[in-house]
Amino acid sequence: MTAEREQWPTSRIHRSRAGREEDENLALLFGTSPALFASMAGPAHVLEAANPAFFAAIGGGRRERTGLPLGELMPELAGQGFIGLLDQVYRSGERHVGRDARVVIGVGEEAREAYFDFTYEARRDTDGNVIGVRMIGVETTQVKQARRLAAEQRALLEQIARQAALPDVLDGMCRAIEELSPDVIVSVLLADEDGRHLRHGAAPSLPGFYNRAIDGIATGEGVGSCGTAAHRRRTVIVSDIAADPLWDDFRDLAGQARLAACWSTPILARDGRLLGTFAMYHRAPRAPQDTDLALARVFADTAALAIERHQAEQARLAADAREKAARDDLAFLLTASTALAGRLDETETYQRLVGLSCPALAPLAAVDILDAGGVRRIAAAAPTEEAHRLLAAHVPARDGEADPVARVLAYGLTEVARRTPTGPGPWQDLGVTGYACVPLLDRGRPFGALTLLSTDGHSFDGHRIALAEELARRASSAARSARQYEQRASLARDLQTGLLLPELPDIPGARLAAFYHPAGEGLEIGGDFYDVFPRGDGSWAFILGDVCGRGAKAATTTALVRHTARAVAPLLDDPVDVVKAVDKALNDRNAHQNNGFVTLVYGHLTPAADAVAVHLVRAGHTPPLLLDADHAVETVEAPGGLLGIGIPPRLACRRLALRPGESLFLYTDGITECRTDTAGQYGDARLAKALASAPLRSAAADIVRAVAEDVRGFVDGGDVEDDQAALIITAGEPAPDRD
Amino acid sequence: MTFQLIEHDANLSVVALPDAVDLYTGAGVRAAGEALLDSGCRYLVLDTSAVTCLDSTGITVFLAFWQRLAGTGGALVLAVPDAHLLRRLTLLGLDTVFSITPTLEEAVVQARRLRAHPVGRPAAPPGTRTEIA
Repeated sequence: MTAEREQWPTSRIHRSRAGREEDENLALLFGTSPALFASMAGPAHVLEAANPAFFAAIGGGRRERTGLPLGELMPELAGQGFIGLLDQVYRSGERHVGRDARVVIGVGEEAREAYFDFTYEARRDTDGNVIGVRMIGVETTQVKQARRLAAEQRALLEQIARQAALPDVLDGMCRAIEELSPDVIVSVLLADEDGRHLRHGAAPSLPGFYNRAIDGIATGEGVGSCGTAAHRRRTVIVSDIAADPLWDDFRDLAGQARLAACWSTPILARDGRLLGTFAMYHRAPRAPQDTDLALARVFADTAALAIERHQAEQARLAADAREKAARDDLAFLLTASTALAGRLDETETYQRLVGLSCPALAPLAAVDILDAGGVRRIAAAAPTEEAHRLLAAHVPARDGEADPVARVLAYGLTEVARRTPTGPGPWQDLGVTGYACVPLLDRGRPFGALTLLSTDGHSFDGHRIALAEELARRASSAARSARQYEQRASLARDLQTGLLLPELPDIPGARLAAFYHPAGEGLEIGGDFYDVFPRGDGSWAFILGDVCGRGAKAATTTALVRHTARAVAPLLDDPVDVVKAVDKALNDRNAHQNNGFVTLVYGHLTPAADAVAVHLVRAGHTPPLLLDADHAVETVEAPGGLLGIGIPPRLACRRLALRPGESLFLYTDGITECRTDTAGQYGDARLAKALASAPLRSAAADIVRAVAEDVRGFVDGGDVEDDQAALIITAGEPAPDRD
Repeated sequence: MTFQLIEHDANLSVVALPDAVDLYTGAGVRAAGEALLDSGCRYLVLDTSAVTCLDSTGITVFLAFWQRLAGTGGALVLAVPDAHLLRRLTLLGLDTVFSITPTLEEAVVQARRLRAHPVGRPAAPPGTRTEIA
């Protein structure tokens, strides 16, 4: 168009005899061209010739005539300055070029806004005198609208890309369209997730009562333009609301809002899902033109983009929230697991459980456990001391059905209620409004219950209950472990006690003392043992040894060694024979295992007038120490290998006499081999020193105590890795009793 | 440091033991040694020079090796340079069960000698040293 216009510069107008003829030709030439052409004559700008495009542009109909001054044909022009411009060109002969000039064409209801690029140029006679003005123009209204539309569209897309709030985007879109087409009122309705109802989206120019009235309408045939368009998934054109059956139910409402026409286009997602409707209302009955429908499609697509983006964002936020909730839950349970791990006794476990529950899950929490047929409240947590006192003192009713705790203990199922628990309790004082009672299960059997109590403004949702149940599961498992640990420790204690002498016998002419320290925390049965028993002829047998390994297997080996020794000792005078019998018993038992061995020192004591005679055998064990009256230490060497490995131990008996004040000290290598990171190994030298450090003429018990204390000081609270045992036999009259 | 095979020559293996052969490492050492014995080792030399911790589990591991080797006519030779460890093995009476030497070199020589002249036959000069590099 621009190029075409450029072909008509003044300088190149062919000058024929008469400008009039020329312009008539021009009018013919322009013919059906979309370009506007009009030729005016004289100072009154009488329209002499114009092409159909011109007449169409100025409104056609009765305006389609020549011979009238333009100002009369189009009276609206005067007020817009165009007649003045024509006057100016006529007077000066100088061309005027206007670009994108806004012209309101027509008057009153018929008036329309249009834009033009145009040229006013002087028509001259052969003498060069101006005889009129020629107008050549092109209507740019659509181009301009398209440009504005594109600009609006771009602005909206930018908004969408910036993730502006959906209502803002939709509102802006409505306003933009209304500005582009001043006689249009735009509304956007949003579909519910199920696509069966429409919610108010944006309609800045529709009255509030109207928006409220149609908010939530169902989609369906006959539900106005929008409900029907949503239902049909197709554009629905109602050009006259007053006459259209689709509006039967809404006609009065539309009348109140002064709406006469409504064209609605469904807004569909890329996958065809209904997102909403885009409607254009008019105050007067009107059918859309192609351009109107194109506009509607463009904006329905834009709206679809905005809504989909919004939904994606909402979904992302929801997913984030879910993820955060899941992370929080995980963190809570991780904290809980950590708090419930470690070496706890059962009661500590329950205390941790209520501590974790309160206030994270409820303001008040308590744990009850089944105990000797009854219910015992074992832990409680509350925000105040008074509440804690009330909660801790309350014991749920024992009756099977009266109290939720009793029911949960009976059936093992969680119970939740939004009222105070049935059965008596300090509910009023605590302000209890609801409860959740979760069972503590051991292999499916309830052994206790966690009760969470809510107060004002607090309730238990499914999520909280699930957390409480998970927490209860972990606590149950921790409590079970604690119980098992306690049972095992107590079993180990019992077994150990059974394996060790409850107290050493009184032997005439000698004093005995022993020391026993099992490794670890007493959970395992140690491998060290000692025994002293009469042989029935006035002499005594003593034994101190170390069984390879720990636990139940070590316990059976210990029992085998001790019982064998006790059985054969009265019959065999030579300690070597007794130890051989023990070795045989071990080898017989180990025939198919070959992996357990025993080291020991065994001997016989025969009290005599001036000394205690000792016959001893060492079988692979740490050699005994002889402590003389001055506490000088001497090792009692004796050959002999360990027992229970299937080869003869090559034993040899050692005889010694313990004179009054002299001691024989038997010990296991748990003492000398014990080590710390800083001080290294305890060692033989330190043991000798510890023995020597006991006051002279000490009682056997004092010497053992001196050693035990020195070892304890050496270890300094650290874990002892191996069992430690010692037995001391001191000859002669005991030192003055210190007890 | 773990159970480390430093020589393997036909049915004679030389192994360096880790610093601890005890309750915690014993099973691993035993499994590694048993695997060697399974693959045909008849003369096992254990280098104890790195061992600082040997408990009853460790002793049991040695005994298990020894029992298997004795059963097949082979031998277990321990290189025990540490006096304290030697004293403990002696107290246990194991010096008369296992073959114990103060150095690894002597242990290998001993193992070769035992291989060349199994118990019951007259001892001969040590085997060629080049074989074990």
